Amino acid sequence: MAFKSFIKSRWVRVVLLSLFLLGMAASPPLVGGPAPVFKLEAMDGQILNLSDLKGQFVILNFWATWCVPCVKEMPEFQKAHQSLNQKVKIIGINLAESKEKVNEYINDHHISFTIVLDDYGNVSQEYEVVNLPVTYFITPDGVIREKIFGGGITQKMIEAKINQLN
Amino acid sequence: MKKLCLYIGSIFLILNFTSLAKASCGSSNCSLIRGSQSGLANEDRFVVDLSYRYIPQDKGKKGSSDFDGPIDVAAIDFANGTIEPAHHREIRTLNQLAQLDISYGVTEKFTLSMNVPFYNDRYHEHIDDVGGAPEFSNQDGSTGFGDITLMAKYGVWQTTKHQLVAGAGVKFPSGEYDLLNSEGEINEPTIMPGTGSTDPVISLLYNFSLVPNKWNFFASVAHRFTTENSLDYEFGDSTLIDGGVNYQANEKVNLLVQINSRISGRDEFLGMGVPNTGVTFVNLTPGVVLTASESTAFYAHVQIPIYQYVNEVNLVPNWGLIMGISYGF
Repeated sequence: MAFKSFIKSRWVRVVLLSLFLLGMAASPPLVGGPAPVFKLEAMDGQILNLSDLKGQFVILNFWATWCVPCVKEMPEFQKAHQSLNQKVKIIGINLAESKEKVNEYINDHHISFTIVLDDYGNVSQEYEVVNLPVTYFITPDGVIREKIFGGGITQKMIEAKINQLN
Repeated sequence: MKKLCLYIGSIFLILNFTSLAKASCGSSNCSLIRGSQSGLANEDRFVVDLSYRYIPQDKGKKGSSDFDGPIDVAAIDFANGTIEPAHHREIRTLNQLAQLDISYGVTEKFTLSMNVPFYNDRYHEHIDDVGGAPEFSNQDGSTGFGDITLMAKYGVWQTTKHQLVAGAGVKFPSGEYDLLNSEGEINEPTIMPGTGSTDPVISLLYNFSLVPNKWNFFASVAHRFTTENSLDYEFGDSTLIDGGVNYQANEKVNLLVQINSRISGRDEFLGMGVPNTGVTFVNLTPGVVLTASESTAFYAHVQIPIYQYVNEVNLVPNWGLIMGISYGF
């Protein structure tokens, strides 16, 4: 089929228009809305339910051990966890890695904040995670106030953000 | 002159699915569908891929059936503008191709890529002049630089588990297409390194991650709209349809199984259909990708035919090998 007649055919126009609309389409922004609730298994085998944390500041950090920018900022979250322990619940959501691998990492790096396992990536899908890392700040009313793409988060940035949202 | 049907396989798509582990990580973030697997490079990063393909073509086919009889195929007489049916008898062709693929992530969603088949070697044996005084020849293969393809790919839709990438590009006539054979005549178009035509190419790829970075399924389609070259020869339109699954066995090893199919229409010369051209091939393609470092991966795929159809009679491959190295920076 010649290229010109292909482009002029009706079904091709429908497909191209559909792709364009798909590209333009955007799901409702998470920031400013209620944080999607989830239940995930923590490293100690307990089930963490986000709903149970209402009334607290929550930081969700989506990460993986193979993600270099993620592991660079893990010590910063650990420091923030220690300095803000009573004010903020920090949760690291590991994306689809084995419990053994994650356990090895948190032991080697002395991570003591809560780590949960998103085995099939379903919670990451709900939170529109396309690249790692992604960090969400959730206020005590259960509303997502900020989403930060990419690595480079420091303890000071976390503390400043919490003070700003407080 | 001779006529043969070259088997190139799913040339650019199969390489798009090579996994390059940490190359998917930029300075600030990492793509969930790793490396060039998605056809998209990370923003401001290059992925360079060097591949080698070995495709021996020595099995006779008549339609979709195995054929032990003579593979007598047509030739083109460019000087007189005629097609000569059953001109010569094919024996075998060994195809060795080397290609460089370079991708650059302009943005997270937009990638430019260039496919450079810089070495095409086709060793060919046939018996000339079937109807006259038969004469064995192995002097009518070809070696040379092939046709460069430039593609632009855009991530139309991307979530944690789903990804849709649309691409469009052009195959340029950078390869030689009017080389002479041992008799001093223009060689057969299908054995030339290039086609001599400027052809639009479109592609669409869908990825589904059952478990991100563990189990990934994909389906893709690409179509090349052929145009006539200056010798009044036009290759048939070509459609590649691929699907498969890859499994990240561990940090170093990624296993892949693909079904690759190619449907090529009959070629035309001066508007006339050329006998013994046009094929449908379906291959099972198992493969493995080994991650050597954060930026380097080696891969190898074997193509095993599971369905082959040729118009009239022709030679087809029994198998094919593709191996290469990917480097991201």
